[in-house]
Amino acid sequence: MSNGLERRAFLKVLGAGGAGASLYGCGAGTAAEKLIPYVIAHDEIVPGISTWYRTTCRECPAGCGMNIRTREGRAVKAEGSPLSPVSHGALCARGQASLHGLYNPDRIPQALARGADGLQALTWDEAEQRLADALNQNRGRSVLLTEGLTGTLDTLIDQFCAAFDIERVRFEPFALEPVRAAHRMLFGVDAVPVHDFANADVVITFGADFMETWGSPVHYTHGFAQAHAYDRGERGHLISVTPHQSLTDMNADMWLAARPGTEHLVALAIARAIVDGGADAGGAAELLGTVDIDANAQAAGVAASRVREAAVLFANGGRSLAVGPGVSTMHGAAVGVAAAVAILNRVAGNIGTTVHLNRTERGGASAGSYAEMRSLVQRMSAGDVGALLVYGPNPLYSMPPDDGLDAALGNVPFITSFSPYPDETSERAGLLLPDHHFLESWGDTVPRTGLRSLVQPVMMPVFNTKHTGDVLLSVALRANAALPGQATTFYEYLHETWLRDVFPAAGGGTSAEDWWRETLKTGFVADADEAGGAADAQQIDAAALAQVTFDTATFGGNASDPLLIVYPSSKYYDGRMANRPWLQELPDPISKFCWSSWVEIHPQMAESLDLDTGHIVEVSTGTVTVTAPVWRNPAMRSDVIAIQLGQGHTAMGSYAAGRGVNAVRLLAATEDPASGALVWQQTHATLRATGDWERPIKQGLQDEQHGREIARAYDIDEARAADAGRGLAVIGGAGVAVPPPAQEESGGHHVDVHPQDARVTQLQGAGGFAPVEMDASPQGYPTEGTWYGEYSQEQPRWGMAVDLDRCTGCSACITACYAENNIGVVGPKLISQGRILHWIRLERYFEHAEDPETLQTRFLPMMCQQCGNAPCEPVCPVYASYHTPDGLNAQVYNRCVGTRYCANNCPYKVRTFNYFSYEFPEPLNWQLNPDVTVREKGVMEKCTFCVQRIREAENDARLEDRGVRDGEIVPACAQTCPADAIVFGNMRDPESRVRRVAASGRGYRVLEELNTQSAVTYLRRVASSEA
Amino acid sequence: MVSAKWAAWGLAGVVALAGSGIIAATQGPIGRGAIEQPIAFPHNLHAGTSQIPCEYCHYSADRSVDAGIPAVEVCAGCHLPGGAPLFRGDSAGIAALLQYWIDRRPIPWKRVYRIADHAHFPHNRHIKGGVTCQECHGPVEEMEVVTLNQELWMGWCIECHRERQARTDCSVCHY
Repeated sequence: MSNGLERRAFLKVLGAGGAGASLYGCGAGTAAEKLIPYVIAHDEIVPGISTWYRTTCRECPAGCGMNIRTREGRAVKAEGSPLSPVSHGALCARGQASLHGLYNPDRIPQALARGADGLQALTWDEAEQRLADALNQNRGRSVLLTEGLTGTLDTLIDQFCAAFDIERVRFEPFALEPVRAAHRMLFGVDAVPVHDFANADVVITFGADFMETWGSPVHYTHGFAQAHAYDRGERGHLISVTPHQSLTDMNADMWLAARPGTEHLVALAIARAIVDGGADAGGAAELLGTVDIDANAQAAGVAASRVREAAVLFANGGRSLAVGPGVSTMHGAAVGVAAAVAILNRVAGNIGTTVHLNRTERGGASAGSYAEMRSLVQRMSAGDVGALLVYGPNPLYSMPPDDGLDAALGNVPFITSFSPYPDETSERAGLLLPDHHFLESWGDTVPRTGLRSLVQPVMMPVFNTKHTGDVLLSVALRANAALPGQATTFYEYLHETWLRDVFPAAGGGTSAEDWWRETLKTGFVADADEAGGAADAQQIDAAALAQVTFDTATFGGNASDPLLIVYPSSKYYDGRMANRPWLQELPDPISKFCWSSWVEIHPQMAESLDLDTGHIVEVSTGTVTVTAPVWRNPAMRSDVIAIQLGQGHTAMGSYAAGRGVNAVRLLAATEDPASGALVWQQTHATLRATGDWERPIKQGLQDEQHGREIARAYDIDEARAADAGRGLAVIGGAGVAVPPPAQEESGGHHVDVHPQDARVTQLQGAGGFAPVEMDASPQGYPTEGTWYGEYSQEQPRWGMAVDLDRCTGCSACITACYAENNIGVVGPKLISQGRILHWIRLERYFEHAEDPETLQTRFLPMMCQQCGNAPCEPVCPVYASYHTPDGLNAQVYNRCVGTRYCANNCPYKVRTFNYFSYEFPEPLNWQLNPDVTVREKGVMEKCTFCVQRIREAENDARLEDRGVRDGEIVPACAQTCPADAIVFGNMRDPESRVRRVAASGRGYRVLEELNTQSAVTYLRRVASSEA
Repeated sequence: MVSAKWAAWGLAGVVALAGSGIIAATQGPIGRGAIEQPIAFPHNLHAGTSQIPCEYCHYSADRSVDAGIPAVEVCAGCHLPGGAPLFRGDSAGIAALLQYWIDRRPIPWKRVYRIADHAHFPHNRHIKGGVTCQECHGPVEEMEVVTLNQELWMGWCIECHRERQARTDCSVCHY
């Protein structure tokens, strides 16, 4: 500036420079930029148009039907298939994050051999030859270890094992062995029965986290929401009996915080009370005759009156269902819990109605057991295994350290892993034959009896991987081992199998190939069994029942120390999902921690030890000690501590590395002889404060509302009163009770004023002169005669309704939003500084946290409220945050200069700022949604109501000369919600579903008193008055 | 004073180029000049003389946001049916095409028009609205070499939107 250029002139010049940049940026490309056409155009690809493929999720055993959106041959978004009887159009966060498995930068890129000087690349020919040679040399001494597979690959592996004289062992860490054992003993069914949550008005869970990992979480959550959520004056009940609340238990209306190891005593007491009321004991009369309700309640540390209350609810509250135990309550008496649950279901008359013994999860296919795995370890230690092939499980991570697996693997000369990712077990393999990701694969799965679901590739493989089915067929060919059938590829094998086994019954007169093509489009085949099938066994085998012990479980360690509870993660399942950046970034639905582990301690215990959230503690059992920060959790007994499973990987890739602790390492190799399960709840642990404190890697720091009434609730009488006279009806499959279409009313859009909401006045226009009285409803803004920017009454007003009585807090919406909107993953350090970028956050508040009997957890998804009278807009100096004519608060990234005034002025704190440009390392960038701008540093961003989907639907409607249909636009969050809690649409259309849902008597808007005129109506949660 | 201002404009130019990443390119921005394509495809001959409709090659313009670049197969369909070069089959361009086709390699066309990543322009909707290709791309049927007819400035878009009373709201294109 010394030579006369003034500051103002300099800024002007810089401004012009910016314009120049955008001029070249927009106007023309560079000489270096190429347009590469196809050589031969692909039939199914039109550039710029999405192609959808139907497939089946394989991230957990549940098998949800999926729709995958691909653009230009790349998968960019996973959604649930609305046709699927498992996913019902929804997906959990893990299903959403399947794309981060597909494009994971840590995937094993090709066949590799591990030698003395590291990994060496192999061609697939060489690799398969090595495997064939090893199997030939080790006939009778080989083991193929798989997860609990179902379907055609399972059959092929069995045939392969027979051809090479290989022993097959199955292992799933969450195999629910006690549930299977109890049903085997009592009813002769060695499987987890199918549970019908959609028809259960009262559910009681003994630690079964059925919204997270237990059984089929999306299917169960969907059914649960249908039967449980407030609907036309009625509502279901969820009773939870557990010492520590999982997300499922946090949704309970009644929590019996039973002493660890005594859940079955509560179940038997309830069963006894029901039998006392005149119900048929169904073979358990003798046992129930010995049950003393008061003694059992006392032993469980629960008031007998509450047990009786639960019994009355369970017996008289309508159709009922008991489930459990889950991993967190699998102690030494877990078979007793499972048997007591089965008895409870029998005496309540649930067998054949909500519990189906003739239909089982995974079609009754074995998921193996911990005991089988241990016996394999012993044989490996003894040197009886010459070759070990691992497809799926990661036992070195999932088994307690003193099982001796680590040393046993050293005794196996030849180990092959088919894992697509590095993990603790594949790290020990000498030959790595990476499988395709399921989105690149052919396959099928049996989610439950009578249902077969197809897996088809949605794109070309990202890496030089090979389908394990293809490898097995090719190896068999090389070794001249005869497999049945003519197939040389797994696709042929699958096709052959389906035409032979499924087509004759399901084909219905069409030609086989036509049927196959149509089935690929539908994605699944359901046979008659799915609808009903044979009658269920009804009578409990009294002789077998006498074999079950119902003693209280005993625990190791010092009884004065807190009991250690480890529980499954809704994000990482058994740990297999830990290397997905979206899931690491996702705040845990329970604790809100990200990228780390934490130790849950009840506030009472924390007070006595002077610990607060963020203090670092050591937890020890025996010789193993782990170190993690404290989280004060009121939703647990004060004599237990809890650690979530799934973190603490030592070899799974860069995102999981060094994150948290593996809680399995605190466990001893203890087997439950009655079921062959690992005893997950086994010991007391010592807790020692280190004195250190670290800033927790956590979303927000508030677990309570402090009277702000953000997440509100009614008791059921208030809800009924508020809905009175509204003539509620159900629309759509979701079963959200709503008023019928509004009768045409004179004078425009003002209908459905909430009786309890006072009319508010606002100052006319931005200038604020004459107060104008107006409706307290989203469609009532702006009042006629007032003005607000270009906002006009002719345009739609996009709005949303969120039913808090349906929302379970599962957080799938958050990951769906990341996938749809190219939201950056900021990593642990920045999250601890409060710079997480999520556009929706799931608020989780504890109410009445001081008393376990009245403790209530409330969830509230908080996204941009698209205020009519938005505080963010007038403070933007560059018009980047402004109001669109269709009522959105738009954020124009290319205008934004990053003052952050808007975020400061937003009362909902839903605006997030890009402090840095966040990376999408190759090939994660392949997933980016081409319809959404990728933001860089210095830009504010927030929820747009998925404006790209709005514009696409408007575009489609315009091309077809019609208006946008109600329900045509579904934002990513609403699309993936397993509970169907979110409804989106045009608030100005009196017929629209969102308008009618928002008119519910339970409707309110968050921080309504600020006159923000938000477009999001929340429907209050309803507390059952009986509970 | 004057010289200082000019110096600053020069500085701004460098900032602008650096900011847009263009400074890294060897030949700089194309601007309105002719671009040498890997095959000298005469649009005037195809779209003008032979009256081939634009959408025969740019096949997705009326059904997608992208107009579509023809696959090599489309060129070969007319020029190499059955392998023998047709329609000026002796020209260097067709010889080059034959080689790409035999090698099964895509033709690396150079981009002339580029819309910034933060702006969305659906071709299909504009065609539906009665905007002809030439209104933006100029008289392509008369151009031997396609050159940039119009810098794609926002002001120019807005002008047309105003004339046709289309929406001028930012979030129609920017999201």
